[in-house]
Amino acid sequence: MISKVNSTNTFETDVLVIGSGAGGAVTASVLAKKGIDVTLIEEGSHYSPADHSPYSSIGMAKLYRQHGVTPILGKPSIAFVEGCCVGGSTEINSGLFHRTPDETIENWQRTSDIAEFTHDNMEPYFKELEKKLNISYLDGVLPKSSEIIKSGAESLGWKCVEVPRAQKNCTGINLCSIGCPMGAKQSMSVTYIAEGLKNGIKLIQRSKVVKLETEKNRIHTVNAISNGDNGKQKFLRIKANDIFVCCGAIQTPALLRKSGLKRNIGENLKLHPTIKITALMNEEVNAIQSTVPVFQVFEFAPEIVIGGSVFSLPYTATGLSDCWGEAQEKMELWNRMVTYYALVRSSGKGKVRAFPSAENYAFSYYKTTKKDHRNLSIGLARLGQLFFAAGAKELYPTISGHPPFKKVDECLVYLEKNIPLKRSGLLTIHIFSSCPMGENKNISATNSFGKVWDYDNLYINDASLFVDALGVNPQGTIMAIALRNINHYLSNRKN
Amino acid sequence: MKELIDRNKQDLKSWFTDFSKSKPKGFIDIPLFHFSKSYIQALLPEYPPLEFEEQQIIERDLIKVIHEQLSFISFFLKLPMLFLILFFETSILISRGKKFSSLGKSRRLEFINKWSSSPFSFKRDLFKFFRTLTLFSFYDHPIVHDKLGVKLGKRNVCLESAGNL
Repeated sequence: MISKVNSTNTFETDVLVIGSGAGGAVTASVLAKKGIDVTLIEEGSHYSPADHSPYSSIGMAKLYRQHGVTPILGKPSIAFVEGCCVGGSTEINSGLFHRTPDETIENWQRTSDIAEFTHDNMEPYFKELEKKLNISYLDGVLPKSSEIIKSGAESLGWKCVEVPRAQKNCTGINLCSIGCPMGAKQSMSVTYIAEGLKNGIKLIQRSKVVKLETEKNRIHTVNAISNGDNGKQKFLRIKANDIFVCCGAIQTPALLRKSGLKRNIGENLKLHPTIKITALMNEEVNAIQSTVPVFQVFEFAPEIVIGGSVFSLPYTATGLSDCWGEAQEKMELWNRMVTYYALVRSSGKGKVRAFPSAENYAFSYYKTTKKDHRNLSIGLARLGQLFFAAGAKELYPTISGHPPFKKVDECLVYLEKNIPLKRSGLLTIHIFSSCPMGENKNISATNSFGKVWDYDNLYINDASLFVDALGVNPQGTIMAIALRNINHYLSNRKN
Repeated sequence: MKELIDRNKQDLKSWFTDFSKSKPKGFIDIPLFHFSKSYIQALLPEYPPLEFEEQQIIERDLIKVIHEQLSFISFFLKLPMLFLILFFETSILISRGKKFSSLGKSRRLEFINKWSSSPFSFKRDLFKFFRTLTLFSFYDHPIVHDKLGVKLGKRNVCLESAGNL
């Protein structure tokens, strides 16, 4: 609950950007480069690469929302994590970068009537991002944790591609998920935000926006609670001419709904549920000392994509926890283990709501469909097939009480039969579409460029704007759409 | 790189020390912390084998870390969680004549394993949650890393030999 507020500060800025993840960082940095007075407010703290720790508990406490304990409720509930620090989830992802698939652009265009949203429109933004983030393929010898997926897919004749990453001189220490201590991952804090700060962005960290005060069709004041180093809280009142909300697909709609804005907001949450398998291989993999796996299997795309997960001892233990009785002694063989996931482009839908008086007010729930259930089952079967083709000895699925797979036929059962969904440990790090954009006012929360319907000075510029689940890692699409929208804003801005 | 590891071991030491200073943040935290301790103790893994003293240190640190994590959970999840814990705490009074937290560690683990495979999802999810938190923190502890020969932050040998640095 909100308490202990010691004093109030009021100040003014031309543009206020709320949230500093992939959308907010681009928005604030581009505006600052144009000489606009920009304030960037972020709930989490600002860390430099030297501040990051190789221990997962510390990394999660520093960088993750609520230490990583943020479920999306439903049957089953889906474990969800997101960044809560300057740079947002780009500080804790693997930096894998995809352009928006052409099929997705065409679908979104068709269903939501989005203006100026074609492959050709988006091309220059992707090119700019790829240069800026040094999107590049892995140099040198392929680590075994990546080779497994490649060799398995090749032996099965499946389509498998290397996904480029936002990285510069990555040394392969597999700490992407808790902040890269080498500064090799080209996350927002080392790219757009670093540049934006040089160009005059005013950064307010450790400050959570709790309400937007509205008057007719404008936001006139933004209220935030700022947490100081001394543990004391201050109340901030910020007046801005224009406001960009870029807090991600759960926090953005939660903030807007808490402020009384509800038109198509928080009604269309989409995500990629994933199911994982931890495999015991025949030989040492040393995934803990390798670059994150960079290959993904697209044989069953766009509905199912298979890829490699981050690897650390605590993650391995939680991967084995559903078969813990049988699996715990296998922890001795941690250097022969690797974890992969099957990601499903869900056809389900969720909602985001906000509790009126709590500080952590966002609350979300999601309903998977029969189609999702089928795809998760097929995904698990194919993932198992891939592992056995790559020489795995035993597989541990994240299904509570499920015995380990010891033969490929035991996995392939799920090509026909469904997995016990309620016992399955699903998780996601990809969420979107809670405030979709487009000219169709019946289904969209904003116009084609993120301007919130009925408000003159309020914009959304993050993954909430997606029309549907993407089917691939979303950072590239979030940033390209953010660049496109901010360019449109600048060309229409009154001086 | 050695400096990186040394520095962070120091961080971790101070991190766990900091937890000892952390106090319950809300009125729900006090009973939640008190009763969840018995779950954490019962769920501590037996592998790798540890000396008694090491076990004591890890148990103390884990309880601090997990309590800190619990304190960050949203109010609307914490409240039902507390009700469930209180329910399980007292539900075996009739059959066993003891509260859950008064049972021995192995007996508590038996109950947790039984409840973890319950047909009721709220029961399963609660114990899965505690198991996950306990395992995650346990296998992140520097003592456990040392026991299992894990060296964090070591550069990839393949890339190093390929001259990618």
